[in-house]
Amino acid sequence: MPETQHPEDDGVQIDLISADRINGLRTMEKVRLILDSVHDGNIVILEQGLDPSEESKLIEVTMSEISPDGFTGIEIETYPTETAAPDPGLLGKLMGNTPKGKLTVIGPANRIETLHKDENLISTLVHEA
Amino acid sequence: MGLLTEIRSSISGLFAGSEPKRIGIYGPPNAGKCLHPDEKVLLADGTHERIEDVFEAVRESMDDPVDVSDEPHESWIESDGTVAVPALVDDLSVASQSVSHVFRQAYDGPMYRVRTRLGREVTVSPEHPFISPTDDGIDAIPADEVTTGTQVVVLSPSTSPTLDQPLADPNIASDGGITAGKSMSNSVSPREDAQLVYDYASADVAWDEVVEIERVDYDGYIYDLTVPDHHTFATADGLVVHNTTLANRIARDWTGDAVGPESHVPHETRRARRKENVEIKRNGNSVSIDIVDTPGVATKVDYEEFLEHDIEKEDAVRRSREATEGVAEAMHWLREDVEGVIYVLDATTDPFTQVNTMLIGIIESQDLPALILANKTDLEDASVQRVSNAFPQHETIPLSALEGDNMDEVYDKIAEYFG
Repeated sequence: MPETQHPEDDGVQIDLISADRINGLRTMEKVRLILDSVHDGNIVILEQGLDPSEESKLIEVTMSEISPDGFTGIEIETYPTETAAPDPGLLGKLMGNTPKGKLTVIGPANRIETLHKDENLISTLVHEA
Repeated sequence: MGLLTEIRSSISGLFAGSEPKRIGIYGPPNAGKCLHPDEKVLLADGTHERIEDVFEAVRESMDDPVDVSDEPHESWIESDGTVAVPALVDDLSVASQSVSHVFRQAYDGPMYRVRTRLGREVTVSPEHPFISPTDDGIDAIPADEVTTGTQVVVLSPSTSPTLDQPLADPNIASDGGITAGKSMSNSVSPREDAQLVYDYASADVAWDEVVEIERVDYDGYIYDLTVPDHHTFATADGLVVHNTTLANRIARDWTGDAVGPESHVPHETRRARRKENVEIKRNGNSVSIDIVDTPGVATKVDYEEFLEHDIEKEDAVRRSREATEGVAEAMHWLREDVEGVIYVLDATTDPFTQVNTMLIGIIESQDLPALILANKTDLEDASVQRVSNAFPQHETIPLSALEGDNMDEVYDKIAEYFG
């Protein structure tokens, strides 16, 4: 992630991260990329989301960084298609045929609020810092 | 479902062996239900004892008494069955039932002092349920949902000899601090009280009416009894309360020892807890599992949520820190250290939450056998169908951990999935 340029005004910085950018990273590198940006008060949008194991790591690291009167955690939303999709079955999973991640929005818990979510639309409200 | 069940069975087969499987219980936190230490509990022989004394008596009766000198946050102790209480049975009769376990927990937070029209009084934790008649039958209502006018079940005078003269018994007077035991109603004389009790008593139980609820701050130990099967006991003056268990019911039912208490306070189950060698016997077979009870998984924890429950800032900070560590532990164990998952969902709330979706996804990605429980079916707005629709690839088992409803099927499925 390039050095974040903080705007002079109170605008909201949104980092849209491509699948290509994410795919080349290790799990912890992905987690750090996301959390460093969120710590800066930014909204992160991942083109292809994270896989379940990475989501689990993201929650774990997020928890370790929460502090009173400081970082309160993250809000994360993604299209609810993963578990509703037909299960690939044991053979499918062994063949690496796991579902691809979907577009994911992540932001500071104290700034981002999900207004609506369905299979095709995530609507969020971002509060000013 | 058939294919998935077969797959799970195959996976379960891989685990077959003598070593217990580590089964993680994930889902929202539930509720702990406890009494103030000075509350007097009615015993089956008609006498009554302070619940703290019952706890101590059971502890001291052990061959090797549990050491509580280091003041552990919570202690569960198995009783040898010598303590028996009158318990309310489904048909509103009363039966003597042995106490299987006693429980003590450190607690700092609000308690509710509930007084009834006939002068009964009890001080309980906010989630401690009273038994109350409703339009849908007899329900367990948490103290913090009890209102003035709520009818509560009491044991009738015929049930216990001590209830013949409960209102004149000086031994049941308040003993200071946060008062316990009984206080007289100013508006009704003892003679009238006694007559009303007798008038109400058509069977083993009668009804009394809540007239006052007072919230009081408390910092100290609170106590509970586990009464198998009927899950109720009564205070010295006959007020019936519920000893309900929730996610811990599984551990308690089979070992008598809970994995840990939970409460209404967000993230109260703050550290993941383990209970090893829970042996579940079904259909002649025995399944041994280690239970890992986890905090409610979240992506955010704000200590100010604790402040809303009248918790001091310093304690709120400590609790939030423990909560975050607990969730982190739970996530780590889910990836590394459990061999099956029981995912407990609140059937009264929308299951399509991001956390639920992510957690189910993580469980599936680990190829872990998973059993989804739709809890709180005792509540009117529970929808098991909504849960099963949310995760159609998994079998959903309805239950009321509060009432103990459908636990047989839950144990059958645990044996099937994790055996």
